[in-house]
Amino acid sequence: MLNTRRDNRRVLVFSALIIATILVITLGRSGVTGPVVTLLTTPLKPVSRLLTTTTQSIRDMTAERQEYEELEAKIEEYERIIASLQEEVVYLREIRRDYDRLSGLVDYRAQHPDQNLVTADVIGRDTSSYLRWIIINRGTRDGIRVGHPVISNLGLVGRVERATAYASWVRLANDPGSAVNARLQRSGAEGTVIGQLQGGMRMEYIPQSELVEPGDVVLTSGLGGTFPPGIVIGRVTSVRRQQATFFQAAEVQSTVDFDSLDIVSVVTSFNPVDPRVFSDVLEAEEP
Amino acid sequence: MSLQLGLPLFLVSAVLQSTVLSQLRVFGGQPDLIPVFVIVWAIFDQGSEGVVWAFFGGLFADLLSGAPLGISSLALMPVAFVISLTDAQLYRHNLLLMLLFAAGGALAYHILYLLALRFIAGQPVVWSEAIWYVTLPSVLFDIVLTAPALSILSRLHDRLHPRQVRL
Repeated sequence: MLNTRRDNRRVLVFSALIIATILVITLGRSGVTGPVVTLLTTPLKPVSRLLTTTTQSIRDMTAERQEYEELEAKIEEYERIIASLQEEVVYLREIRRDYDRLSGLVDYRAQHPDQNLVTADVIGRDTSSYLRWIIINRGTRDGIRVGHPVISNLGLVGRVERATAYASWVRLANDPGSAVNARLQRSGAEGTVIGQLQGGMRMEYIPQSELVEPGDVVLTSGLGGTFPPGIVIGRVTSVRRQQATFFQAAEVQSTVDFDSLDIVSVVTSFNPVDPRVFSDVLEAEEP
Repeated sequence: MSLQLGLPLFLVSAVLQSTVLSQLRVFGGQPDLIPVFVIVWAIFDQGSEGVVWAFFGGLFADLLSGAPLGISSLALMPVAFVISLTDAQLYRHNLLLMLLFAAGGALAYHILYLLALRFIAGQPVVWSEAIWYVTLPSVLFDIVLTAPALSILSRLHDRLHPRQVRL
C-alpha cells in the first residue's frame, strides 16, 4: 500500500517536471524567459569572470613557466654554440695566418726553383737582452748547416750561426753583430745593412754619389755568397748624408716583424751570385 | 740548495726566460730570472752556494742564447762571490737595503756580461746605447722581480738550512 503511494508520487513529480521543462522550453523559445535569465545571471557574471581570469592566469603562468624554461635551455644551448663557434673562428684565423705565411713561402719557392727551403718553427728567443737570436726546431738532421740564410714570407730573417741535430740558433738581421751585403732596388746602390741594438737596421757604406730616398726598397745583393740575391730586407725610412765622409747611411725598417716570428724557412741551397760578372771589371783594371 | 732542486729550477728558469720573459721587452730590457735568483740566493747563503749556482745558472742561460757558453757564468760568479763576502746580517732584514743590494748586483752583472760579450765573443757593443737602452731598463725589471724572489727564496733557504740554536 505504502509502496503504491510512493510510486504514484514519483510518477507525479516526474510528470510535473517534464511538463515544467516543456513549459520552460516553450516560454524560452517565445522569449518570455529572457528577463528572468538576465536577472539571474547578472550577479554571476563578475564571479564567473574572476574565476575564468584566475584559471586562465594560472594556466598562462604554467605555460609561461614552461616556455621560460624552454627559452632558458635554448639560450644556454645558443651560448654553447656561440662559444664553440668563437673557438672555431679563432682556430680558423690561426690557420688562415699560417696559410698566408706558408703560401708566401710556397710562392717564394716557386719563384726561386734553384733554392731548397726547410720550414721551421721558432721555439725560443735569446735569453740575453743584448743579443737578437732565435732558436728554431730544425737542425743538421734536416740538412741545416751554419751559414744558411733564413727567410720568412715577408723577407730576410737572418742567418744560422749554430746548428745541432734537432735545433738551430739564428742570428737575426737586426742583431748588432749582423752585417748583410745589400743593394737598393731603385738605384742599384750597394752597401751593408747592419743590425742595431734598438732593434732597427742601418744601411752603411752607400757611396755619396748615389741618390737614396725614403721608401727605397733594400734587397740582399748576394755579394759574398752568404745570401741569395734579391731577398727583401726592408725599406729606407731616413737618410744621413755627411759632407766630410765618403759614404752615406740610411735607416732601414725591416719588412719582417722580428718580435712576432713563429714560422721561418731556412734556405739550404741556392745559386750564389756568379763571380764571373766581375770579370769585365777586373779585366778593365788590369794594365 | 741541493742539485736535485737547483738544476731543475735553473733549467725551468732558462726555458721561461727564452720563451716568456724574452717577449716582455720594454725598450731593450727584460727581466733576468737566473741572475736575480743567483743574486738573491747569494744574499741569503753566506757560503759558496751562490757562486756554485752562478756557475750552473749561467750555463743554463747560455744554452738558450747566441752568446758563447760560459759568458753568463763568468759575469755572474764574481757578483755572487762579492755578495757572499759581505756580512748579510747587516741588511738581510731590511727589504729596501736588500733591493738596493740586488740592484747593484744586477747592474754589476750586466756590465761584466757586456765586457765579456765585447772582448770574448767579439760582439760589437755601443756602450752608451747598451747601457741606456738595455742595461738600465733590465735592472729596473730585476728590482721588480727581486721582491717576490726574496720572499720565495727566503722561505726555501730557511727550510733547507734551518738555523741552529745552541743551548
